[in-house]
This record gives sequence, structure tokens and C-alpha cells, in this order.
Amino acid sequence: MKKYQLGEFEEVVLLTVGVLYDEAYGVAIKEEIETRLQRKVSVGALQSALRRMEQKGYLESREGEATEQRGGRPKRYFNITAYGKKALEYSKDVRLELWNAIPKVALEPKMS
Amino acid sequence: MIKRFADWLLKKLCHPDYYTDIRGDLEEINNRLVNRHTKLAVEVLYLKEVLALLRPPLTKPLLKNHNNSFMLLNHLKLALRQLTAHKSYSLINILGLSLGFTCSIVIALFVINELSFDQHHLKQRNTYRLELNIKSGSAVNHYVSSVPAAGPAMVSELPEVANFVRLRRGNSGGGDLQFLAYGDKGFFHEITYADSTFFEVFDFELKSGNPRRSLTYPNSVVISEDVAVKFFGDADPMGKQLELDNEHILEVTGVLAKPDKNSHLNPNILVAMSGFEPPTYADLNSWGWFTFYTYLVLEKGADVALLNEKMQNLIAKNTSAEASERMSFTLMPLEDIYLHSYSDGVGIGAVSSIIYSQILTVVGVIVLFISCFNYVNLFTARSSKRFKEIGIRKILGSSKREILFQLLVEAMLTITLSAFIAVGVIALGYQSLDQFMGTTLLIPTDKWTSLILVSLLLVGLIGLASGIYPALLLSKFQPLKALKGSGKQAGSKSLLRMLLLTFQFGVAIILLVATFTVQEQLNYLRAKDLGFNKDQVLIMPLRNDLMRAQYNSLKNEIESNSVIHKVGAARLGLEGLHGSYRVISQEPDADPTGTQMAIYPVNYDFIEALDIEITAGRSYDRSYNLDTTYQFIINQSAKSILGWDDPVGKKIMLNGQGGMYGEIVGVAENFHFKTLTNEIEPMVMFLRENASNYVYVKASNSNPGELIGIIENAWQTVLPSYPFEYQFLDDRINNIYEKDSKFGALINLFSAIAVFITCIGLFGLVTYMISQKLKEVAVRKVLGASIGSIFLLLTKALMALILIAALVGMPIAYFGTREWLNSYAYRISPDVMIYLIALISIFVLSLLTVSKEIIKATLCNPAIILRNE
Repeated sequence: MKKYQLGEFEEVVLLTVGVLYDEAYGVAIKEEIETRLQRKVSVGALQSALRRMEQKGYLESREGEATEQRGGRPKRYFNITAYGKKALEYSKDVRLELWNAIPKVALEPKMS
Repeated sequence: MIKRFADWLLKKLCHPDYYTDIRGDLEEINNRLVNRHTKLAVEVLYLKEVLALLRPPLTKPLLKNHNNSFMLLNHLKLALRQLTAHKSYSLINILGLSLGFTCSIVIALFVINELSFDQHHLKQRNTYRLELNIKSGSAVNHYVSSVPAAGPAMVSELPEVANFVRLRRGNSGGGDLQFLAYGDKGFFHEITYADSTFFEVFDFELKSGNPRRSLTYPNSVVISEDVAVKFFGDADPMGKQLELDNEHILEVTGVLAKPDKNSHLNPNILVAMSGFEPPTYADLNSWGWFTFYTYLVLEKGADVALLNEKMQNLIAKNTSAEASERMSFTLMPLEDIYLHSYSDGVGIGAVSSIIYSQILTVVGVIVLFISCFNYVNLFTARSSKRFKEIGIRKILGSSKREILFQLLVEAMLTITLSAFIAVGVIALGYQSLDQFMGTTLLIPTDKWTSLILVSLLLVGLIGLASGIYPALLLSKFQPLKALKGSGKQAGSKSLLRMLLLTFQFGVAIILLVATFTVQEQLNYLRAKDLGFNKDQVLIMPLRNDLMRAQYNSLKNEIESNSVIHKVGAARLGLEGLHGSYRVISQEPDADPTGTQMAIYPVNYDFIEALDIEITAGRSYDRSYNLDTTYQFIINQSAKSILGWDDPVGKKIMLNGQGGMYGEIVGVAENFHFKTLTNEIEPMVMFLRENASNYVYVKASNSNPGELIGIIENAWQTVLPSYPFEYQFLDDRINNIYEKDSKFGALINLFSAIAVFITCIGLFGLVTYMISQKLKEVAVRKVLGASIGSIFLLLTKALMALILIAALVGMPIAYFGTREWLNSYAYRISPDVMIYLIALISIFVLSLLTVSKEIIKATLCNPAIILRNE
């Protein structure tokens, strides 16, 4: 995985940004992960992952509309870049390769 | 409020690029939560989110491209340069501060340890010890033990009482040791009988065994890890059988884990109460047998005042009218027992006194203050040296705030450095602290966290407090005046500096007086004539009936040696324990209620072995037949209470009507059978042939080694199967005052440190002041001043300060020490010499401290100093 560095949580976030496509901003991503994966996500963990990946070039962001709900502050929407997509694909391939390499027996339930 | 704080924190620390949209996200989440939770919960959640946000990728870069951080680095660099440029001055500062910190941390550890006793039991807040008050004439005696029937009766009859446990110290109730054997291994141990509810009331951990059942069956025994190792080594002790006093077989049903928290009870061997065999004269339903320590667990929210009333009714129901009139119960909260309990009789477990913690806390705070004052003093004194630097800074555009900040950074650096040194010293020496303090430090883990937090806070506060005044002073200067070099603004005679110095001297004098007084009192106690001769007396305990049966053979065997003067014996060991009985005169027209008096069952030759003087009548003698009546020897206090001019031949009765009837055969001089904190109580001795629990061997001149050899030989002949135990009587008596001596030593040490810190502060101050006055001295010398007059010029201010300090400090010292001395029935009277010596010591010490610098100044060559003018 030397080529594209992608942590487990980062991968989850990146995929979720993909899932939400055009609607991926902080709160939406947080809630999506929380409902789909049934795990608590703090704003801090999420935002630091987002910014880190933005710096690595996996994500790009644009400023969106401001709402009353947010105290008049604009949303920041994220999109996966082409490079980010490559990173995701790479990580998926690596996993698949590993899956395929597991001998069949090892996965069969043991009878003992 | 919380949210506002969180917002402020976020704005301060979050990277400005991300701030707006993160804040927006937070706001949105917050708005969704508002309707679902309480306001407080939402705000706390918000704060939690913000705190989780403060991580490196999201926060402002700490040291990059930021003016403030640059300045901070610059300040730190400058502060370090200041430290290294004036090495002796920095050394004095850091030495004083780190000494002060070390002392206060050590004291804090001691006090925290003292306060942590019995704070960990689950039902601690509802647990009380049932204590007993007995009226005797006009006095009320307080005992921490009570009657065995009270606990069970209260649980069944009073709804407020949920549970109880009774403890009893061994066979005798007084903590005599009992012989415990496994195979051929045998040791004397104190055992404690305990009800099966022991582990329900107290939270002692068992390493093995079931806490619910381990004390249920008769002959069950729970032992501590130490005892287990002593008997069984590495083998599993569970189920092993121990033999108690060669007659009972006990089975090990539990092993206590090594305690990791402090408790006044520190049981080594617990035997099930169900196997306890009461003596013939009493049973467990008794309401008149006072040797059981009863702990009650009350229901939550029980009304203690109401309970007291109900307990009194219970006493009235179960005892005679006369007895219930004299008896009452007190409930002592479990958490207060260690520091606040008091007993006229035998106690159980460890006790201390809150006074030690209080005195040490005061001393610790004082030492801390003294060391901080040093810092302030030295800094203000040296401030004129910094005029130029600060003047130039100001002209170059530094604001007052910047300079203030810089000086505070300097103070913080010095103080943090000292704090680190102090912590380092303590971490290195932590293992030996136990021995030094005379206790085992068992500090609960949660206390460590708060201790560290408080220390950090204190270091910050102290840094601020001692840095702020000098910093304000310096930052206020008019830059032009400062640069002109007229350094008189801060004044070499700063009032504050004088005040602080006076305070330090005052404290030093108080501490010296206290130290000398404690020392003198302890010496007095050691040298006090106790009314018996403790020199050349060896004392040996005979622990059980089998051994005591051999007493007479042992006596004869030892006395057959020519160096042995006398061998006597008594029930008790002179360490202050005794029983007491009501003594009623049997003469006509006497008071039928009588008086409570101490009793001392003795054997033949006890009085002779200890050289106790008989002032009237006779001592015990084998030539008088022991018939059915008792022979009593009373002491002088008892004689004056009974009120007879010639008590010999008068009849008295012990232990109430129908008790021990007999005749007074002699009057003995008062001797101290209790510690010197108590007056000598009225006391009655009577003869008991089996009173041989302690054997007293009085030798005529011989060396100790030879004496022990002779006695051990005799012991091996008569009692070969028991370990030979002995103690010299004077050592034994000194042990009673060991806690006082330890405490005295601690006070000595901390006073010495306080005085030392004051001295190094003084040294720094005077060194600096003299360097300022050097020109004046030189000019005076040129004009023909004598060396003496110059010496006086340089020291007179110091002398005046010390005198003022003495005037203020000595009355405080007087009242303080008088208070402490009053706790002793036998004490020294305040001695003028002590005060004089303290004053002179301070004079001499401070003169010695400053003498080198002053002599250097006085002997200087004026030509060299004035050359540059």
C-alpha cells in the first residue's frame, strides 16, 4: 500500500463521499457513516480525515450555500478527485488479491 | 456558558481556513440536538465535540509563521540566557525553590496518606463504630469497645441498623499474643475474632477464599499473605490446618490480599467468632462485658440523633437501672476513626491524630511561602540591573504588556525548572520515604491524579504570584529615566522587600523556638523520674498459660545467678494498658458508689524488682499467708481519693458490691504505669499468683550481653520449646514515645530547611545589596571611616529586621508551643533560654551568611573600586 496511503477510517470516509456524490458535506457524511456503519463519528475525527485527504489530493472541496440552521455559515462540499478514485480502486484491488490468495480450506467452518 | 467557552476555544485554536465551515457543521448538529436533550447535555456534547476537534491537522500551527510563538521562543531564549548569565543567583533561586517544593510535596504526600484511611469501604458513609461511655463519679470514661450483645440486639430491634460485625482481640481481649503452629513451625501472633459479616461491612480483598463464607464456620481462619508465607512458604494455604495455643485446630478458609489502601484495621489473622469460647464469667449475650469492638452499618439516611435515643432505651431494657444510668453509646463514623478517635482503654488498630497533619500542613505552606518570597526579594533587589535592558526594549517599541509577559516567562521558567527538580528528587527517593515518615505510604491512584493536577495548578499560580510583582515593577519604568542610569526608582529600600524579609525571619524564629521546645519536652519525658527504676531491667513476656505455669521454675533458675538482683512479675507490661474496677470503701460512713480506679494484678517481687517505694505498710511477702481475702497496695493518688490519713488496715471492695474484698496492706509511691500525657491515676495493686504475663528481671551491675546470655540459658532450660523474647525496660518505655520522637525529628528537619532557605535568600539579597553599596563604602573609607563603622553600616538594617521579626514571632511561638505542651500532663515550663537561643542562633546564622560578602566589602581597596569614576 505504499503507493496510495489510505487508512481504514479514511477509506470509509472517501467511500461515503462517493456515496453521497453531490451532497457530501460534513454533517451529511457524519450521519451517513453513523447510520450505515453503526459507529460513532466525532466531528474532529471526520474533519481531520477530510482535510488530510484534501491535502493528499484525494478530495476537492467547494463552498456551498449558507442556511439558517448553520448560523449563516456556508457548507463545504467534498468531491472525490480522479486521484482519489485511483486510490480507492487500488485498495480494493489489493484486498481482492488477498482474498483470492486465501486457500479455500482456511475459510471453511471447522467442525471440531 | 459552556457553549460560549467551547466556541471561544475553537476560534482561538482552530485553523482559520477551516473555522467557518466546521463551526457551521457544529452549529447544524447542535440545532438538531437541541430539541432532543436537556440544555446542559447538549452543551456538554458540544464541548466534547470541540475538544475532539483540537487535533494537529485542524489546529493553528503552533510554532510556524506566527508572531506570538516567535516571541515566546525569544522570551524563553532570553530567560535561559538570564539563568546562565547569573549563575550564582540562579542557583540560589532554584535551590531555594526546589527545596521548598520538595518539602511541600513530601508533606502533601504524608497528609494525603493520613487522610486516606478507611475512605475506600463501599458502605463507608453509613458505617459507625459503637463506642461506650461510662460515668464514674463526675468523670466520664470513653471506650472504643462495647458489649457483645449490643450488635445483634440492634440489628434485630432497630430498623435503622442494617448490619454489624464484632471484633475481639484474642483470648484476653487486650491483644496478648497467642501461639499458632503448623507442624514444627510456631509463632506468637495477635489474633482477632470476627463475625462472619466482616467482609460485608469492610471491603478487604481476599486473594483466595469466599468472602461470604470464609468466617462462617467455627474454627475457620483467614490469614494475611505475610502470615501465609511465614507458615506455608509457596504452598497453597487454603484448607491447611493451624494449631492455636496447642488446643484448637483452625482451618485456613481465606487469604487476605496485601492491602493497597489504608485502613485503621489491618487484620493479620481473623478467626471466626462462632468458634470463640468466652471465659467462665461472661458470655456473648452480656451487656456488662466491654471488650468487643462493634461496627454497625446503618440504613441509608438513618437519623443518628433518633438512633442515639433508641440505643439508650435498648440499654435501659437490658441492664439494671443503676448500670443504664452510667452507660451510654456513641457512634463514631468509620472514616473519622483513624484521625479522631480517643480511648481511655484498650483500642484496636492503628490510630493517629489530626494534629500531626495540621501542624505539618502549616509548616509545608510556610516553607512554600518562604521559598517564593526569596524569589520575589531577589528579583526586586536585582531589578535595577535590568533597567537598561528594559529601557532599550521600550524605546525599540516593546509594549508594557510584552515586557510583563517576558518577565513572567522568566519567573515561570525558574519555577517550572525547580518543580521538575523537586519531582525528580522525590521520584528517586520515593522508596525511602516510608522509612523517613515512619508510615507506609499507600496513596490511592485517584489521589495521584488530583495531586498532580493540583501541583501543576500550584506551580502556575506560584509562578504568576511571585512573578507578577517584580514584573509589574519593572515594566512600569520610564524608559528615559531608566536609561539615564538613575536606578533609584525601585528604591534599594523597598518596603515590600523589608516586609517579606521580616516575615521570613519571624517564621524562622517561630520554627526554631518550636523545634527547641519539642526537643526539650522529649528529653524531659525521657529523663523523667517514672517512680520506678527502669535501668538494668529486662522484661520478658510469657505468652500463654503453659508458659506461665513454668514461671516459678524460671524465676528460681534465673535468680540462682549472682548478677541477678530480683525477678518479679505482673499481669501488665507498663506500656500504659490496664483494666479498671470500681473501688468501694467497706469502712463505716463511706460513699457506697465508690470510684473507678486502675487495677494492677502483680506477683511477688514485682515491687522489689522495680524499686517502687513503699511509703506506708508493707510490700507483698511470702511470709504472710494468702487467705481468702485480698491484700491491696494502693498508690498515693488512690490514698488521697479514699481520704484516709492512714489507709493501712482499712477494708475495701473491688469490682462493685460482692466483688473482691480485702485489706489495704501498704501504700506505694506514685509511679507512671501510663504514658506521661496522663496524670497518675488512682491505682490498686493486688497479688495474683498467676499474674506472670510479664517477667521483670532486675540485674545488679553487669553488661547487657552477659545478662542476656544468663537469662537465655535459664529460658532454654525451663521453656526450651518457645522462642526467647526479651526487651530492656528503658527501650520499651522509649518506644511508647516513638511517634512523638519521629514527629519531633520531622519538625526538626523541616525547620532546618526553612531556616536554610531563608539564609540562602538572605545571602543572595545581601550579596547584591553590598555590590550596590560598594562605592559608598569606598568613599567612606577614603574619608577615613573605620572598619567597625563600615561593618555596622552594612549590618544595622539586618539587625533591626531580625529584632522586629523576633518581637512579632516570639509571642506567636509562645502561644503555639504552650498549646502543644498542654496536651502533656507532665511538661516543661516555657523557658526564656529557648527564646534567647533561638534569637541568638538567627543572629549568628544570618551574620555568618552575610559575613563573607561584608568582610570583602569592608576590606576592599577603595582605589580599585573608584578607579572608573
